[in-house]
Amino acid sequence: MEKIKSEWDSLIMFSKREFIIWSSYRMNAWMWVLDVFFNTTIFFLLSLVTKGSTLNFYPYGSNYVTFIVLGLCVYYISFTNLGDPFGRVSRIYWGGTMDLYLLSPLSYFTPMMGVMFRSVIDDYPRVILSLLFGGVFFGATYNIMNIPLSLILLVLILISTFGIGMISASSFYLFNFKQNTEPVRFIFQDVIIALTAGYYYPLTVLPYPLQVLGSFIPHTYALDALRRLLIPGGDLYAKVLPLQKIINISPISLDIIVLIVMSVLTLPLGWWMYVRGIERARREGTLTRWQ
Amino acid sequence: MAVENIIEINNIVKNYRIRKGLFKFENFKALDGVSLSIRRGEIFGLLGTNGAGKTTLIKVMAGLLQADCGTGTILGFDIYNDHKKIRANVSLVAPTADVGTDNNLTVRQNLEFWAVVYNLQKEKREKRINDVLNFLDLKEYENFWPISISAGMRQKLAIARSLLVQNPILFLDEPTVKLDAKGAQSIREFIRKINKEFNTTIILTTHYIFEAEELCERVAIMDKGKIISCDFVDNLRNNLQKYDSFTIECDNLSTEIIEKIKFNKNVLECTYENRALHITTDKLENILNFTVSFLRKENIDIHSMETNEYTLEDIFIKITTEGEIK
Amino acid sequence: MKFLKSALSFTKLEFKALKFYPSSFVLSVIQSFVNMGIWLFVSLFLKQYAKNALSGYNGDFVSYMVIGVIFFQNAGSILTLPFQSLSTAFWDKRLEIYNSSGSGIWAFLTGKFIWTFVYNLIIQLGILIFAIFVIGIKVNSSISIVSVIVFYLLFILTCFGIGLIGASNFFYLEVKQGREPITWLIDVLARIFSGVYYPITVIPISIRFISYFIPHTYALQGIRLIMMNGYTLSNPNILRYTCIMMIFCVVTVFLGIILLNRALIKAQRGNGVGMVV
Repeated sequence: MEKIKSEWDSLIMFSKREFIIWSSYRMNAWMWVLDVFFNTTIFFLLSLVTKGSTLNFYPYGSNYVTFIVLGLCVYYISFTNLGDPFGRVSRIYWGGTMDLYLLSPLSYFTPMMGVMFRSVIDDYPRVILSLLFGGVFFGATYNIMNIPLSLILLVLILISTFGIGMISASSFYLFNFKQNTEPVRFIFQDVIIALTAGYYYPLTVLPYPLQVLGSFIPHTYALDALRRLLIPGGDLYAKVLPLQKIINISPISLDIIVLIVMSVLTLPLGWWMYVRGIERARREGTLTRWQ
Repeated sequence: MAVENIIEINNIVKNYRIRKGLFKFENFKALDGVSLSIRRGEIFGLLGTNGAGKTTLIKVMAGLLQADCGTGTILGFDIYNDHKKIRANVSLVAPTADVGTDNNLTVRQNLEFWAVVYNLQKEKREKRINDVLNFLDLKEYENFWPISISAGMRQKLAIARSLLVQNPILFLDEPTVKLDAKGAQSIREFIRKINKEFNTTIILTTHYIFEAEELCERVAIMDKGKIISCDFVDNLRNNLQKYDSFTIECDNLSTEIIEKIKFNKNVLECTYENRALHITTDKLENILNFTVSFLRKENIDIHSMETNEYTLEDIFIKITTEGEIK
Repeated sequence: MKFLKSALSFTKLEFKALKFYPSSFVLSVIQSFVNMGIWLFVSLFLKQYAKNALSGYNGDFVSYMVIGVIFFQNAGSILTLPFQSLSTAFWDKRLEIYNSSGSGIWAFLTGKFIWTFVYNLIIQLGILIFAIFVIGIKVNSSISIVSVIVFYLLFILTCFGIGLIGASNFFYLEVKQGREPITWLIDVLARIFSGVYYPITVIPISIRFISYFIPHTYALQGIRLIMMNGYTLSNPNILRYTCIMMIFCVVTVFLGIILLNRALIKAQRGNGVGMVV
């Protein structure tokens, strides 16, 4: 109990520190808010290209702005949870502070999660901001009835992407990826997810092989379910994803089950690999750049 | 658990894998059968040339690096099975001043952060931070950004951070590097003080031999991953100093006088250069008296006189050049 | 000559760094392809609905989008290059050393610029060739390569000039890391108003005027008209755009040099260009 309390206090202190640092860059803070606004603006104006035509991207209704805004929400979550852990471990290493953290009573995870808080401040509120800006300024509409279930989906995408992020972070020490771009994050975040998650277009636009590739990432299912639930006119029953066509249960149920399975698999695996990585670095003497 | 030897390591070996090509690796032996015992409350010096293995040894003792073989206990905790407990009970100051210092937080904010990380109790935090700031003359800089203070002061901040928690063992890896003479002197005083007041065992590595001589009771001299010599500073000096020497400053010594001095069987070496007569002997007192009387008899004016004692620096250079002094 | 030699030594340094980590080139290529791929799929998704808005480009939204994205990418990295280079060198404690050398920080920035431009150009050409021959984006069979090169160089130099203006804030506003406000603003405005992703005709008239103050608008418009419609420099529209780009180029580069020079002098008189050591 004492240990949990001290870990929690430390996490709060990390958060406080990261918030002080974040807010000391006042210009950055303003740019951060405006970034969300401008990103949404770009897609709103993009949707104006279709003026005069009737947009229909079945089964996700017809409001392209809402479609995009939900894509941006998942993008911001993924950017932090999946993309950040490696960068934070790297920052701790190159800052020479890994030794100091290990010489404290903290667990292996608290420093990394604490340092990640900067990205949490940056990106999690963007989820809310993009929903807000989309609704207030750009005509996004939401099916409010399905918000509780949508929140569960958001939690599942949070966990599953964090699990992949931990796997990515573990490679820093486990596979000694210190200088180059980390491959797990690169392959997942920058290639597969970027192309096949369907942030800005439905999966059905992609060639079939890419659709199959997209079946292996949690984003596909999270976005499929969120869009069906939250975009007015979304069809809850039409099967569009490759896996949905194979397994004979409702698409939403399948999406939730897949997300749960991915969360249950990736998070413990990422945890375990991260600990193994630190232990390996301790054995090999690659824990810190202080030589 | 109170142990007389707070650190006890035996035959520690550590190899690093160095990349030589895309798929080629080579083993580099950083520690080659190192054994060491350090008593509680001791200030122990670890000297050695660059690449001797000092930092590797410190990391092993601090629980940050796993040895390949050998045995050891730190504070009674096994170095293999209890490394987490070891790490929770030692403090470390790395040689780079900026390690662990966040440039976006003030000096005080940095210490507040680490006070929580080190699980310092809430009631004690403020007082401890103030104590440490005052002691290291950082109080007036507590609201400064680290980027605005000198490297020396940033080094003091690093030391202050590691001293927030009064752990029984403190590793100092070149703590006075980048400090001015005054700053370095105050750090040395501080090292003595915490050792005296809290009985903290301090393991110090430094390239300033005089610093080790001033602070340490015992030193270990390392070279190529081995401890070549480990003893009290006085013992090391006595071992080296089989012979004594002295220097007399005087004018116009003729060759004849020098030859007469040399003729004495206890004079091992006698040179006269730049008005300095230098004599090495195995019987200091006798030869010193003899030489002074002889010079006076020859009406030679003696301007000054001093006996030459070997310093730790002499010992260090000799050992690392010639090996262990027997 | 001495200055050029000094600048090229920095370029050579970047090349040597690449040789040490060749995988970073592969990753850059993949990333650029992915970025192009994302917008390709967006355009594929919307193309059937976008014919009216793209009437000036034969309704070809896909080619419109892909060409815009490819040429915008390099410009974007040149825009942020001066500031990012200063920031990295500052935190690595190299800036003071560069400043104390004969050619100063200018050689460093010029060298980095040359390297980044060439590096990105190679990648860009590869993507363009892929887009034309594999994806099948439509370009006019009689493209005037000279015209494309002229427009492109003016575009890149203008972005570098704006980047230098932004870099001066490193010392004026003491923005030492993160994003610099001027280049950030230009980048954002360019993304929204310059017609990278959609024709500026879809932008509401009340705010469309902003497009005409951004060099990217003329650059991308000119490049598209040359590549998709086969226009050349002799075409009145292209000629007009060329003149406007030249003005932008001269103004931004000279202003950037003046401002950054003054900022350096200000820093040297104040706390210095490097960190307190």
